[in-house]
Amino acid sequence: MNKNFTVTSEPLSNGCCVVRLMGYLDAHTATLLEETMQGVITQGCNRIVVDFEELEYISSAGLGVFMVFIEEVRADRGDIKLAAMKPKVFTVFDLLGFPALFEIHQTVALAHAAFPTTT
Amino acid sequence: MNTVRDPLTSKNVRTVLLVAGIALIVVRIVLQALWSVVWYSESSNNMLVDVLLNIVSDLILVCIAGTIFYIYAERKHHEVSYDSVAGSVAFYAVSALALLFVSALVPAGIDGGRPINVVGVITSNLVAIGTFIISLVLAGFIAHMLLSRRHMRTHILLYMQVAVVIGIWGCTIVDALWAGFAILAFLLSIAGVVLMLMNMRRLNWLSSISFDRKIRLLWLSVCGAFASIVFALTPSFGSEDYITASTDLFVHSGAAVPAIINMFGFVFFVRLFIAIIGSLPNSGIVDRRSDEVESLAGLTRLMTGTATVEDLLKSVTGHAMRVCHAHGAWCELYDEDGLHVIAAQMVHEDWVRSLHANEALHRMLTQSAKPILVDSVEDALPAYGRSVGLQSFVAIPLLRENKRQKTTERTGTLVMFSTVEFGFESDDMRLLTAFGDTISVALEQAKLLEAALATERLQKEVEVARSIQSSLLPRNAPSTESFDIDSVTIPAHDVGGDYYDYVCFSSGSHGAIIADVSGKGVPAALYMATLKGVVLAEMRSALGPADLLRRVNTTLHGSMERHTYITMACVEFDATCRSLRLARAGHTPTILRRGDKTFVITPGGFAIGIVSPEVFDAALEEVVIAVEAGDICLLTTDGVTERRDANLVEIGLAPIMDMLEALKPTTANEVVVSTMALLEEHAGSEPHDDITIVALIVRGANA
Repeated sequence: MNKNFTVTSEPLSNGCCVVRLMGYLDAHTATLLEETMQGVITQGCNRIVVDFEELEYISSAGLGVFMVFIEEVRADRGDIKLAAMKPKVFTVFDLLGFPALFEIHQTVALAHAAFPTTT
Repeated sequence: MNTVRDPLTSKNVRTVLLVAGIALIVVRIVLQALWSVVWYSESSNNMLVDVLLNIVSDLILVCIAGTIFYIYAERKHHEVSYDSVAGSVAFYAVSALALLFVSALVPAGIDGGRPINVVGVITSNLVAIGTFIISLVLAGFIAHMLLSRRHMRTHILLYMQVAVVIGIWGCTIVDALWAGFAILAFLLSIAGVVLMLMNMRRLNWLSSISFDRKIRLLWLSVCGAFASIVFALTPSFGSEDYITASTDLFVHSGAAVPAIINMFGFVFFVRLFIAIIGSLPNSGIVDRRSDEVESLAGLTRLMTGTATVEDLLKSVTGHAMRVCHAHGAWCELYDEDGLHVIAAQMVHEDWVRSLHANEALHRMLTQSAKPILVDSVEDALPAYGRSVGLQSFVAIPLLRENKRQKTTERTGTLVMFSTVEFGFESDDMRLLTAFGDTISVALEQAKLLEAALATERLQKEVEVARSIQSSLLPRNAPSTESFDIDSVTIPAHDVGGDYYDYVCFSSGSHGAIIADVSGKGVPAALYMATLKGVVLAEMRSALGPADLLRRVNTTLHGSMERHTYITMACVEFDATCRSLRLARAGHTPTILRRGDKTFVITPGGFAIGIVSPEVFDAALEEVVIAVEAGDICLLTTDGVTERRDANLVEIGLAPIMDMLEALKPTTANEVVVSTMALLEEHAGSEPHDDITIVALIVRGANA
């Protein structure tokens, strides 16, 4: 298991962005995620897909990051959709009740498709 | 010279000599006036009167010589400094030139070897005495200078010098007898000059005085040389000269002595002049050295005495500016935020920033790894123009050594500039580099100090948080005969986010809560304190675990920071119904052993603080489980189940459940201890996350 954490972002079609998480997200690395998310939103993207495929672990602090931005992007009629979680990571979300707050999809493509097309 | 004189005695002697000398002068003038003017007649040329006058003259000279001797003898150790030399030379030059001037102006009072009137008597006497005083003072000064070398042969050479003077004097007296004495006097004079030069070989004290003083001394020595050569040559002007005539009349046999002394005085002044000229080129270096020493001493004082880095840098650049005669200076520092101009001297920060607009100049200032000296900005940067004050400058890079990576990092530049071209010498760079190093060290120290202070503040903060946290945890477990409860919490770092407490519901039954605040440190500790307050306030009216969690969420929702939430689980033991009631707000599952089986119980529920009370209340479930004696309820935080071994494999729920099944405990403490032992076995004793365990074991009648 990789204890490092990296986060990248790239634009998708339809005014969406994908934020890819890799490795180990805890209280120490949560700042990095927060900065990246802030950057994406500042650049004007409020339709965000978070790709969990490569994420091995998430701690409570890591979950908190999504709480910070969800209200803000929804106020701009955007959303944060989570995708491709490993079962262990999903369990953490599930225990906290996060599935009621966030859409969680099987793949990035499905999450992307779940955004309504812009008119 | 080595005998210590009682200053009081020496002063008395001096006074006696002075009074006696003045009295004798008066006596001599009166005698001479009576015999040579008032009672004068061609016939009564009394030999006895001449002898008497000469004796009085000799006594006067003894008094003068004695007084001068005592004045110089009082100066201990023959210390020679600029002040003493300049003072003596100035006194000699001024008084000698004044005497020459006066003697040239007063009407001649001597005719045919005798004073023609009373005025002539007085003026001739005073001119003669003045000549002797000046000459003897000069002799005393030269002797003092020569003795200052404190060389073994100095005394011998000085005595030889005196002997030569006496020899020449003797020769001039007996000159008329034989022409050979004149040649002998001449030879002795040459020997005297050679002796004089030998005696003056080293003039070390000259090298240590500043350029300005050397120049002043140079002029003084020219004046001294002029005065002394005029005095030395007066005998050869013949009896027409008033000084020669006066001294001759005063003491015929000793008239040559002032001339001889002044001749050597002339040699002395010329030698001094040459020595000063010779040492002038070194003056710059000497001045610089003394400036360096002064400023380095100043730096040391500053390093210890200055409060802020800014003040320190201001003082250091100020010092550096003075030493290299710059017209202005500044320090620029580079960091992530860009360029900072500090300690700007004589210029404004904005002006310095505007200089950086010129690309070439910017590169020169910021990128050269070595100190650079630009003699002419106009030549180096033709496009720059002359309009701005900066015409030549020195830029010293400020470097920080990174010991761990063994690299040096450019942190800034010390710049000295001049408003004229060629304002600096290459030697200035060497000195300024030393200043640059001092600034680098000061900056580094300041940075370290700041970091140390920050660490200390942080340490304090952690201590505060820890004391808040430990004061929040319950002291006594509310165990009864029907159940036993025990807990442990171990923070991974100084302050964790885990919390537990024992509660008592409105029904009177007991229970426990366990919680995990997302985040750490002081904020987490403050959330815990808030949580404890809310729990304490609400539990007395809460109907059960789910109701308590609802009340907590309703109270805290909206008042928590967006990224913060609390997971929490609550258990109640109903002693009358012998049942456990469980509710969970996003917390890690509860493990229950009931009879021989263990279960994981995960009732639905959001974490506290993430959803509105309506959503929270709707999702929250409560589980009621009938229990018997020996049944165990284990509440943990995620630090327990996510505990990883060296290969980062999490322990998970299974081993804990297996352990609980195998265990036959009678107290809750046994459960806690066994769980801790299991975790340590899995991963050693150093936790990576906070660990909290609350164990409840049912006791009672049917046990």
